[in-house]
Amino acid sequence: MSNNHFTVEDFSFEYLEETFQPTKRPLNKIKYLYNYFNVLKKERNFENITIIKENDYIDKFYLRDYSRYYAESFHKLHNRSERLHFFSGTIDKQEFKSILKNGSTEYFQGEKTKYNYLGHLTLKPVEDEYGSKLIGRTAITPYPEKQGENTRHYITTKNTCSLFGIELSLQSLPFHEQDIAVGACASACLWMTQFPIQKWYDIPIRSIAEITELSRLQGPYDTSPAPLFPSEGLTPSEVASYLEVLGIHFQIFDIEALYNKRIELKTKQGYEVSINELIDDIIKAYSNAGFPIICNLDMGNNGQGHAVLISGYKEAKTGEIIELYLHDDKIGPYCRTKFDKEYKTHWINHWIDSKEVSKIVLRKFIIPVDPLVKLHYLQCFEKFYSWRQSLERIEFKLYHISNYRKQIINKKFEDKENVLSKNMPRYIWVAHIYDEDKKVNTRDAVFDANRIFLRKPETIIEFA
Amino acid sequence: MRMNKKKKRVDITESFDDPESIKISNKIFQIGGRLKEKDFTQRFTI
Repeated sequence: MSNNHFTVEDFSFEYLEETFQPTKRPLNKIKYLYNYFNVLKKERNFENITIIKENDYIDKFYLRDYSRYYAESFHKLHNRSERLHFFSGTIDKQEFKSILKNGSTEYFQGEKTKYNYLGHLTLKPVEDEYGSKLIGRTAITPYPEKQGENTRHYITTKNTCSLFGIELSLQSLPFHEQDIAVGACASACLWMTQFPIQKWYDIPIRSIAEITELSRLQGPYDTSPAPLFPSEGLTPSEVASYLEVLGIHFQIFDIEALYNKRIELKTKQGYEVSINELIDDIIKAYSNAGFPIICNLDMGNNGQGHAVLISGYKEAKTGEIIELYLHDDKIGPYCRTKFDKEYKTHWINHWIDSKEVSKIVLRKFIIPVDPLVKLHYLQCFEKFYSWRQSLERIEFKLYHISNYRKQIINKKFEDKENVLSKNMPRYIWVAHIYDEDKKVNTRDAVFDANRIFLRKPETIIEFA
Repeated sequence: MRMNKKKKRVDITESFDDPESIKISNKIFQIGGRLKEKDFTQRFTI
């Protein structure tokens, strides 16, 4: 007996367009996703991709948003979604049917894996202003970590799901498009931020409407308040208030203020720090501890505010960041973003390519951190950069102590047993010092990140 | 811009009680590490 519970199709632009419903928007998310999977196919050497679609999927986040907004609307909207699963290789419908019938789950996991799982994407019945369906909870596999001599680093969480009994999992950062009825870019950004936070701090995962509500209720009184729903977006202070409601702390980096040279970014020995250098250092330092970085951007000549999340970056052999990956709720997951040749405050990506905006300028980083991290990066400024003056390469990174121990346990250094076993603060700032050819990390200085000021290192490790 | 780079061994245990160095870091932190008044009303609208 046949059913229409699912469809199995080859990956193609036509199929995506038919499923999403076509859009005339220059910033075309369907085209973006199509190109994304094509790059993935090329870099991971897949010949083909198959999409299995659950035609009637219940998405809890959409249901919760539905109950807060769409349930009261006169216009009828379905409360069910569709979910697309992406696999490498070619699976036809008959084969998938027999996989289900025979319970051949080994094709999707373990040593006999024939079809790699590339992730899932939820499509809501709600349409955007151009008539295309909105993307709900999504987790797509990122680009491979190695690309020639460059290395990509990502913030990911483990995502699991069940496709009719087939257990599937992948490492990715969940993505959600904004739904202006219940939340704009900042609410979507906070939604995505919850997952990495939950790895180190136990918080409830809320829907976009719930995030908008809580942010607005906690924020300071606004003399010209925007309506709660449909949402007109949040302010940076409302974003900050939401993070405080969760019981976590956040650190701010006002790049615009630093860039405008209202102060000299200079150590007392005269070492001048460029904004480009500072941006690289901050991204690497906080991403390393798994802290997601929310970016406050100015879009176009009118400087409209936009919020995106840094989900990864590409690092050259020298340690320089040459590309960012953004979870931009108006584009899609892992949006490749380049820097302007001169200024790392000016970004170039799909927004510019599609001519929707003429420029993207970074204004701020808002970084949720574990409350145990007291020491802000800028409070270490003078010491960190005075050392850099005398060294070929030094990097500063924030670590959870368990991750740091895991990283050094296979290295050789003196007094190893004592260093590994002695009690240490939960979060540490580590200065990694490299040798003269910039390749080998020869020394680490470990500092307590729970202090008010930067104090003497807890430990200095000399690697053999 | 990096100035007068010398390839020498840096002593990381040097004085950490220097008020001047804390002052420099604090000044930079005050400018770059806080929300400003205008941030309370400027919305993320995109």
